[in-house]
Formats: sequence, structure tokens, C-alpha cells
Amino acid sequence: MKRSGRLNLPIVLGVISLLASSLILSPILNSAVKAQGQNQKSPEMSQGVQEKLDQLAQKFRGLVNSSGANLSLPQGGNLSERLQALVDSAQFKNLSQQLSQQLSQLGINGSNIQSLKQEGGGPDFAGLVQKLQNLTSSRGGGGVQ
Amino acid sequence: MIDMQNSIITAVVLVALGLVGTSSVFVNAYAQSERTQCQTNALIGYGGTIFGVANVCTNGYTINVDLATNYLPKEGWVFNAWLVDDSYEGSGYPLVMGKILDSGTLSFDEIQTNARTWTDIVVTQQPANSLSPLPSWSNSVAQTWLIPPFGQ
Repeated sequence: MKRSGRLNLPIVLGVISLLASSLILSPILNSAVKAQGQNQKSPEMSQGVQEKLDQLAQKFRGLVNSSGANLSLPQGGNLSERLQALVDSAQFKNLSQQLSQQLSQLGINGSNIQSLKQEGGGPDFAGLVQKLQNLTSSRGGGGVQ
Repeated sequence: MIDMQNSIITAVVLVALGLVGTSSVFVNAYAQSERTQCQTNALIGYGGTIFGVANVCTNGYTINVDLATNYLPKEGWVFNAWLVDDSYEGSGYPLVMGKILDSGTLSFDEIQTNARTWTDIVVTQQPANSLSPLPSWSNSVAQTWLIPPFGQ
């Protein structure tokens, strides 16, 4: 009997170790498999798209910098008024002019967006801000006043 | 003697399992220890108009994006929103946050290793039936530039 007890102990320990390691490793293995599944694309194509998008993002940031426009709206107060103030600012007008001229050099047609329709037929900052506030309040988060 | 051995081994196993459990609790506690910072940014259409607004929050590890627009994509196309990483002036890695819904809204939440690495949000317009997971960069329509703590 004693001998059988001695043999059982390593088996029990082995089973516990296996269970513990499978519990620990399963989320790691799952995320690794998921990450591989999400990246199945030819490296050359991905690289080219990333470079183009990168150039575009950098150009945009350069133009925002040189215009002096501040795209981050101050927290607090009436957000739709703050949006209107941004649009009315000389910096934003400067940025608007630069964008359509400069981005065409990168193959972006600024008139693409001008041909798009807007809900309500035109700019509606109050409606836009309300939409954002509904989203933010539904998660109980802060940031939008 | 065997009973004593069993007790010691059981105690060691329990301590080891306990350590594994508490370490993950500590990691989570650390991840939640930074203050959550939010910013509300104007998304600028490449034609020079206000495309929409985005509220972006992070504590360094979590990222929460709420985005709203009044623009409608052209028929048969959809708007996709992307986080772009250009922290080191060259990565340019885009992560799709998903399609902007017909309501003109998008909510995105994720826990990441370093959520501060993102520098921009770019909105593209893509064919609704496109199977490509890549951004249609030439059909980009709007962008905003995130301020710190992003871009770090």
C-alpha cells in the first residue's frame, strides 16, 4: 500500500502542474494565434501602404504645425461654440487653404470630401457634439462637456 | 514520513499557484494605476472642413475612442477609422478601429501594452465589400493629431 501511495503522489502533482500551466498559457497562446490571423497580408503591400499613410500623416501634422491651429479642443464649456471658434480662426482658414493645395501632391483629392453629403444638408456642430456626448455618456466616461 | 512529505509538497504547490495568481493581480493593478487622461479633438477633413469630433482617453494601457461625424460615405462605401503610430517618425503602423456606423458614430476600446504610442486618427473611405485589411490611404478623408500623453 505504501509503495502505491508513493507512486500516486508524482502523478497527482503532474496533473496539478499541467492544469495550472494550461490555465496560465491558454490566454497567451490564444492571443498569439489571433495576432497571426490578423496579419496575413503580403509584407510588400503592407509596407507600401504604411509608407503612404505615414507620409500623409506627417504632411498633415506639418501643415497643422505651420498654421498654428489647435485641433485639441479645450475641456469644459460649450463644445459646439469651441468648434465654431476653431473654424472662424485665422489659423484654421490658413490650414484649410494649405490642406487642399498640399495634399493633392500626395495623391489625395481634397474635393473627395466636398462631394460627400452631410446629415441635415450642412454643418451642424450642435448636432455633432450631441452625438458625441451621447456616446461618451453611454459609457459613463468623461472628457466631453 | 510520507504524510509529512505530502504536506510539504502540497504547501509548495499551493504557494506557487498563489504567487502566479497574485502576480497577475499586481500587473492589473499597475495597469490601472495611471490617471486616465481625455482629449476632445476636431477631425479635419482634407478639404479643410470639420469632418467630425473624437473623444480619446487613455491611462497608458487602455484606449477608449468615441468618434462622431455628420458626413455620409458615398453609396456602396464605408468610413473606416484608424489609429496611426508615427511616434518614431517611420513606423506608420495603422490599427483599424472599425467601420463608422450608419449613425455616424464609432466606439473603440482596447487594452494595449503601450496605448500612448498612437499619434493620429485617420478616417478613410473604402468600398463596403472590400476584403483588404489595409487602409485605402488614397481615399483618406480626415485626420486629427493627438496631443500628449499620446505620441510617446
